[in-house]
Amino acid sequence: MPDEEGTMRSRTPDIEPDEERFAEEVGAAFTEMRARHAACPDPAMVLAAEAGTLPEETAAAVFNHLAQCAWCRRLRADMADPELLRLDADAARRIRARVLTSGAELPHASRWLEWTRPRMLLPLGVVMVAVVAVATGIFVNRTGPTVKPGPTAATPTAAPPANGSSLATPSSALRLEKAPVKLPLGAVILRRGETGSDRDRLLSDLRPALVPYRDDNFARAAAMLDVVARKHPTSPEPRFYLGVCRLFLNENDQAATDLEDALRLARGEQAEDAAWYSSLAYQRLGKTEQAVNHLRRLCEGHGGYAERACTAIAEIHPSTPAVPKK
Amino acid sequence: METFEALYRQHVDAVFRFAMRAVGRRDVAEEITSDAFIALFRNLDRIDAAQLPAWLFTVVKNRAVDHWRRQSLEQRYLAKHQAVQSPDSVEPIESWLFRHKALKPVHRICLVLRYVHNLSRAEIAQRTGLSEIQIKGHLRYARHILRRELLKVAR
Repeated sequence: MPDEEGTMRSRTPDIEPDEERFAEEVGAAFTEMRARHAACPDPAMVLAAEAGTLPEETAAAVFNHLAQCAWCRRLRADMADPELLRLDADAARRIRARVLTSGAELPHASRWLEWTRPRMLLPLGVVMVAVVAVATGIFVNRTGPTVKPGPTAATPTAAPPANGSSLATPSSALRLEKAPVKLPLGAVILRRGETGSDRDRLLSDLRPALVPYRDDNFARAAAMLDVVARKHPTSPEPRFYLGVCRLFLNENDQAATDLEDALRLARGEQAEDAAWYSSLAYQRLGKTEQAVNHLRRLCEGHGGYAERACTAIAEIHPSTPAVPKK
Repeated sequence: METFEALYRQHVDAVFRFAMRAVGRRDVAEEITSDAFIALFRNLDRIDAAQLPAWLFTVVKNRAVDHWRRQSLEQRYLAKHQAVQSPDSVEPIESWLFRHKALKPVHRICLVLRYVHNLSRAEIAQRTGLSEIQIKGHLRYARHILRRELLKVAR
């Protein structure tokens, strides 16, 4: 039954059916509560007043109100809860990416040092020996990327939204993490019809482009990888890393295209990597069905992404039936 | 002078926490934290390390003041404040919300922002940094607790 303020739906357009039921069951109590606190400031203003960032007159009004309102004093304590003020890993990555992309040029001797990361400078002669290591693939450490709590300096972030791309509701399982280049660049599959010299040329072109990638300079890496990808149109690696870079730059449309190209060209575990990042791009674009299609194949497989893919499906598309375990 | 990287790592947490208090929105807090470090980078040669983190906090504060100036929120509050005064005592349901051990600050904040201040889940996400799915989960949990307790009272 609507109250004097109108229905809950009119006040909060994204209301769920259970919230409407809740409003019917206990609506009177909350209506009264809202009326009692009609003069209360937005909780954010309370902390801002204490931080000295509100205009003087407003801050004075807030402090005056706080002196009289026990409810706001208690809410203020909640708003200052360390958990709500914490710099989480995602926020840390976004801030870092923004600082990096704004401060790309370094005119002074004092440099932005790269995060601690081993150099990979193995000679090309390792190519043949590294065929044995190919089983783990070039894209990703096969133990699977894991989400670590707290700021993770080695894990970069995505830039603020660009290209007008709207971000779909994020999934906690489908989080963007940089695919590390962990193996020597010599560990690359020789494909049918390819000669050692073809792969040598790819490696020779790819290696310099992956230096800014490792340094989280995604704008520069993307520019270089784009050139390499055009030069080697049948190789999935440049397209894959280019797609990952574009995800970090929030160029989601282009990321989806590059990753689909990489997926089309890749095999085995490389294809799984491309499928995972493709699903992330589609999910960001709000193309849930395409994302779920990729995730379903990963979930049904036995690769390193299976568990995360199944969890991601449950989060972003709860109506999708659970995949029976094999 | 330490490298920029070392200074960034040393101060980013504290600067962000201050930014969150200063503006109350995660998206804006991230933006002005980034701005502060970009400003530091551009002025690195002119700043004494002893001036940090105060210098960074000042940049954040200035940006936050600009942010609030652009908002009409504080102006609407001033108008409301002049019209209505809240009672000092905390009525039963409000004090129960703070007393109940099953409700953490994050649950209360989601509940209050949603059902008292009528914010959408997207708006709550901007404030808290939680995802909309997490907010849905917290609200569902809080409603469950509330229903259970209110039913007890009714009996």
